[in-house]
Amino acid sequence: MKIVKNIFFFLLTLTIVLWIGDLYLRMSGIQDPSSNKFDPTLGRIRRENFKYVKLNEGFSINNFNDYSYLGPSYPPEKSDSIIRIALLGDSYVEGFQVFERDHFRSITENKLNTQNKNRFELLNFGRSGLGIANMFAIDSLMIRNFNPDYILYFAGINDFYSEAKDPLIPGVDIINGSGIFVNNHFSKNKIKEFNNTNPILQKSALLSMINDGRKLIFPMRYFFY
Amino acid sequence: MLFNSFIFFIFLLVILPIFYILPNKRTKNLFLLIASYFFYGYWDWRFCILLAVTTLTVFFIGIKLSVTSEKQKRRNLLIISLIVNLGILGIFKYFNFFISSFSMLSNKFGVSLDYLHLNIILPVGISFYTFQALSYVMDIYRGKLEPTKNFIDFALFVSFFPQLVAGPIERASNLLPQLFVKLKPTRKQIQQGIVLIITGLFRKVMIGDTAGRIVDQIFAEPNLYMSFELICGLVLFSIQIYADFSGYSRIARGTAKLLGVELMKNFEQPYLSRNITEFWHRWHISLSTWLKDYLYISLGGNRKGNTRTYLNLMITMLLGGLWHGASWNFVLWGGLHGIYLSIHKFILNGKKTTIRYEYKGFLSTVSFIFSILITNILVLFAWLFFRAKDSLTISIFFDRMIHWKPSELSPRFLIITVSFVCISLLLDLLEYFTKSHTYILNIPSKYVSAGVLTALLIITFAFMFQSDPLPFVYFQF
Repeated sequence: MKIVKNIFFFLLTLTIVLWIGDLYLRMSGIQDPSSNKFDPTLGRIRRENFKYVKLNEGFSINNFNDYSYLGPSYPPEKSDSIIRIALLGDSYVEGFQVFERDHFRSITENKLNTQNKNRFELLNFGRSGLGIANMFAIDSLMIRNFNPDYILYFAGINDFYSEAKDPLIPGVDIINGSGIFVNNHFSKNKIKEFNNTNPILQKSALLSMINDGRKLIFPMRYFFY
Repeated sequence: MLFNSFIFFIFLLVILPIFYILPNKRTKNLFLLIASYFFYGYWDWRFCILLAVTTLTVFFIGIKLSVTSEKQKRRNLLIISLIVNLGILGIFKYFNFFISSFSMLSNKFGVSLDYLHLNIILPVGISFYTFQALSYVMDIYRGKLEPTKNFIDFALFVSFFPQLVAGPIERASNLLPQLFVKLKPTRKQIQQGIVLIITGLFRKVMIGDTAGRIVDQIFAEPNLYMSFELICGLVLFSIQIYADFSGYSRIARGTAKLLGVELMKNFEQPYLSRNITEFWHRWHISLSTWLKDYLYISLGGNRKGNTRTYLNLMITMLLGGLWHGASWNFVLWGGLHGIYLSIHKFILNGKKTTIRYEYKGFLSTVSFIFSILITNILVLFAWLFFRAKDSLTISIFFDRMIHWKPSELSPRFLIITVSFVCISLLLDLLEYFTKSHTYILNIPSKYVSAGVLTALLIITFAFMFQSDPLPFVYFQF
């Protein structure tokens, strides 16, 4: 009986301190919970109104807006007097490494609005890891709903070589060498795997951190510092 | 190897069992000496040569001093020791700095000294072990210490790996006698050692490194940040440097305890100091006492009148600043603390201050909090000069304070900064009021203590698995 009591106290303390640690990780911006969720049409997308702190190859404090993209919350509907430009690309466009005020989207939008009579709206649909095929698919499935007047694709050579390895991001199928069809038929196993783990990772910064670390265990890179 | 790397823990797991089974004092000390040189040589084997030169010089001069009674000869021996050790330190740490400084002057007269620059790297921890070795010679010279004739014991005293690269700067009178007997940790020492290693690692990795990631970004390009964000950056730096260094010192003490050695405390909740004098009794204690004993007192201390006292204080703090790094910003930082201390000494006018806060009613608590705040503002201001890499950074800070630039991200910066302040303050308050660095062991249930430590370890290792280890800030010194 005493052993059970001791184990209970051990586990209780462990849980409480881990919970406080999780709170500390979130509040201090050391680690955010998972910023992704699953959408049946668009696959893995960002969580709307999700606040984050990024410290990977740079530093930024920002949030995804009501529509799960970066920058001001411009709704899909727009009046004809507004010129809307959608920016589409990979991590260069997403720009996790800079604050929103220093992002080329906001700088360009400010410049256009001060130098022109028309009102301009620039929407940042950049996403890390996207290849040109993924961009095309996201353009067809999501961006056109936002009624852009222009869609600017930002693609480097690397974006033409491969699609994102993420199986939950839509891509394209090329049939008979000419027909291009958007493919968002995601693997059921992958969806199941994602839906089993992601709700937990959305709630816990600590588990997200462990999950990130898990991916790096096998390279054994940290053993040699 | 870094204390916050997995390779260090593998190293520890290998050496501890071997150390425990070794039969006698001689083999244990010899083994620890080899392990210490391996630990140091893991960075660069050539560093070991410098360590050996310092060890040999100080050892033989120590013996020579003990058999020499003539005052002038003793003085000459001390001078030789100072020249050799401070010479090595000077060449490796300060030579290029002084050449650069003279070069700036000489360039105005059309003479370039740039060709004198040496292409050398700064050996890790050289300032720490040089000062430790010098204290040994000076104590013998002053007749306070008998030199050891056992070279292995002495070499281990200089190179003892837990405190080799970033202190605490131990005194021979404390560390050497422990090495004269067979090292055998007690059960209590092992428990305390484990607690110190885990809590130290948590401080270093989860507070110091994580705050440092933000600090590095802000200080790299301060012009990108608004006024409040810069203040947050400075506050975070004050937390980073404290957590980093005090975390290191805890791991050092904890590791030493696992080997049966007691090292001195290096930090005693410095940010809970009520005045600047108290701050220097609590911050980097091994260095501040070293400077007091071997520099301030050697200069005459407070025995030669008021003016000389203030001058001695300023010289000590300026050189203390320079000890931290070969750069004028460290001298400025030291000078600023010298001014603070001089003013406080003037205000005190010979009165002694109490060492710690004692509750004497509500007003005493208000006064305690208020004086802590004032002290921290002064310390924080001085940290700006310590951290800024150039005068441009300092001018940007001042400009942003004078011409206040509001930030849309102030609330989020505030939350982040307050989180770091709260966790750091919580750990310090627990230590302050329990008067112990190992208060976790005072919890009646060992299972609760184990739960706390396991949780801290899980969080710390989870972070270490997903990020590269940052070197200790004080390694550069």
